[in-house]
Amino acid sequence: MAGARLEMQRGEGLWRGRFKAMASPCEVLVEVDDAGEARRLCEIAAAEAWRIEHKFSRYRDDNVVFRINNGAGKRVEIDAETARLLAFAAQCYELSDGLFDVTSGVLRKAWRFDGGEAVPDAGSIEALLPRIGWSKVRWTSDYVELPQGMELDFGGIGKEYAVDRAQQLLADAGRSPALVNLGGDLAVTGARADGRPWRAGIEDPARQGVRGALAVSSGALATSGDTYRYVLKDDVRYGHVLDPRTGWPVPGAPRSVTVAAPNCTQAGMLATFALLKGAGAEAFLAAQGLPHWCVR
Amino acid sequence: MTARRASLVNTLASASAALLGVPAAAAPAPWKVSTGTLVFTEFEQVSGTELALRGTTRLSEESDLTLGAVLDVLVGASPNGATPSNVAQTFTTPSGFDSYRASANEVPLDGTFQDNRLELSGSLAQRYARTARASYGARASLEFDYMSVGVDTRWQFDNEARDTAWSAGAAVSHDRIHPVGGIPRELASMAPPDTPQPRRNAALTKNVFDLLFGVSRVLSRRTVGQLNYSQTFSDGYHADPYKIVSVVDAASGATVDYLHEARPGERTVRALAAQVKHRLPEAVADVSYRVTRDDWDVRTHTLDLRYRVLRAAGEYWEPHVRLYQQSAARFYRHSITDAEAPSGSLSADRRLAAFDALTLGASYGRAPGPGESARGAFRLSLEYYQQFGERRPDDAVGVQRGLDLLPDNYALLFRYSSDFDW
Amino acid sequence: MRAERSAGVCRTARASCGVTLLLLAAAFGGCATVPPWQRDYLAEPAMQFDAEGLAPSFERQYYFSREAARGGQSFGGTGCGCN
Repeated sequence: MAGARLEMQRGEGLWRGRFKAMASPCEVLVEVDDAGEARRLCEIAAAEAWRIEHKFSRYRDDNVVFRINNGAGKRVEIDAETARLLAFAAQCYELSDGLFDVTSGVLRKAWRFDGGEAVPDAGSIEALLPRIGWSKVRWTSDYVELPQGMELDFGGIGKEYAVDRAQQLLADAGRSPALVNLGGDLAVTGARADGRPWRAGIEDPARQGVRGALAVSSGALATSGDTYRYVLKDDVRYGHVLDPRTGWPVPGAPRSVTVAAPNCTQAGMLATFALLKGAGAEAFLAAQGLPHWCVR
Repeated sequence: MTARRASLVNTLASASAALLGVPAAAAPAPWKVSTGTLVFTEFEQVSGTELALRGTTRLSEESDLTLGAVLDVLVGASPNGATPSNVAQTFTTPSGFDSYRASANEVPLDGTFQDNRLELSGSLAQRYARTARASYGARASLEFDYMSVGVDTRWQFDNEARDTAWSAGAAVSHDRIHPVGGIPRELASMAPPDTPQPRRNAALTKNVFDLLFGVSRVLSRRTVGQLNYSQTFSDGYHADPYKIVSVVDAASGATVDYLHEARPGERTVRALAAQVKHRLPEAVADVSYRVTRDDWDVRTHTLDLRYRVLRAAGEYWEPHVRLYQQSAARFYRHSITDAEAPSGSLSADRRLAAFDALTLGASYGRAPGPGESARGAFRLSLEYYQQFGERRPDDAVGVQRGLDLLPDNYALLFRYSSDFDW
Repeated sequence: MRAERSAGVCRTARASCGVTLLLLAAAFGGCATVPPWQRDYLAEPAMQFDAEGLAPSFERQYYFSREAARGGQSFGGTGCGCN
């Protein structure tokens, strides 16, 4: 991939591999002495992140997502990995009672979350609503049929999935403890060599540095929120988490939610569900019994 | 309400596990290789080793290529068809230049051959649609006195619900036998060594056509079944040029002559086989039953029972029992008397006799499941096989009555096979 | 004695037809469609008909050269002088 670069840096007792993927700063920490081995492991993780980005990005015209979104109602053959993602999206749609919907990406045509002031008018949002609805998607483990005008957007799953896949590959590839962090969503292959946990910082949405630090020995962390993506008009903050049934942001949503779970996909989806609950986010998270942090 | 929320975490956990459970599509090792060894001994008779190697690689999203090689090495001596006698016997070797002996009361065995065989095969598996698959294969087998080449094709169609699969296949092969010393004239007497042997051709051929139809079905969440019908038609030289038939005196039972065997020029075999596999808690029971009929009047029944005890990490123990029964070909005789004038077909090959056979064995292995790594798949088997024939047939004559004319044949088999990526 | 033997054979033939029909019925009796999320057991290697690598071909080759039966499970497998 053009511009795909991995930079290695030595830290205290570990190596840090930095790269850019999915429009986010990414890094892999591996606790190993040998520079060659560290580079090999970081390359495995980076390659997997780039592979998933390439395959599921909606900004490319040469991948399965492009073929699906331009299928114009016809059957598009899909492979096993895409089918698994669709199955997962379907289950999340059920679990969230329709609030999590991977067909809601078309709303970006109305909303531009760039920190600016542009709030779309009701008419443009109304026009997009018929093009949203997971129940209109026909899919099996071999093909998917998307009605004309609808789009699939794996943005809400892709990064967390990439973290878990990279973590799996690192766990298979070597015995060194490692941490994969793609833009704030991270997973570890195990505690550090001497049993110490990894330290991860939680960023303050007001961009005033690290608000707190977490000790992570196993599992994953994911953060959903509007740290960088929002619209602010008349002192009202419109977060980027939209209700697919109305086309408008969920009211009363926290600025950011961080959840710890055994894997990143699960953590990320719980964080997203919490945001979709809006004002009821804290109560929802408390009922799940997993470590979590809400920032308002 | 709390109960519903708790199940959300669990459901999401299993959903994410399902998403991540299976390893990536990008497989680093292109070849899936299986290797296997068989070592067996029939104690006083033949012992052998067979080595097999097979590898499959993905050519494209829709097709796989499989290549295989088998090497057989056999040593020892196998029965030449003559019955034991109360005196020592001397036979001419197939080449006609030498002779070998059998002691009194001993089953005559011909130890003069070395049988090594090499087989190479290849097949292409192609997927045409979600529910249609085909394979095309070719095979060549070579021994110093036998050559066989063949092609085959097999088609399989699934239904939409993927619970029934229909298959059909056909195979054609051409065999050529060029035995040491040439093809003997049927029913001619075996000549003493260093005299002109009764010969026809240097070599003869045989063509074999196979057809197979089958259906497999998912019967329940824990049961699958399969039914197969096959028909084999072969045309050409079927006899074993190294085997003879004893001619005994009609009164005393003493051996007076040996005749080279003769078999029909055609054979049609029909087989019907059914198999059911049932998943029990921690075990899989596998039962299959096959019945065959042919125009040589051979009727066989095979009952095969396996019980696989499943243990952790894909490992298993599998005891195995196989019961087999065969009726004699209509031209099979353990020996004939000199009062008979044989014509047509005649053979004393014990493989065409009436007998029962029992296999008792057990295997230990590891078969990784759908979510597990393919590394470390292997299988070890030890089996005992015995044939039980008519040791003292009712039509034994004279001195034959005191002898075991078809002694029990038994063997011990050891097999090892393993799979890996390469 | 020949008559006894052929009577025995006839009984065996009838019994074998019965068993075959029973297994046939078992093979075709099931009509329930199993939904995809309940195919866990069916995906296991022990429940496949054509898995298991080289072991079945070793068996077929051995029995082919010691018994007169042909066919049933697969075909065209071995061309050897072992009759």
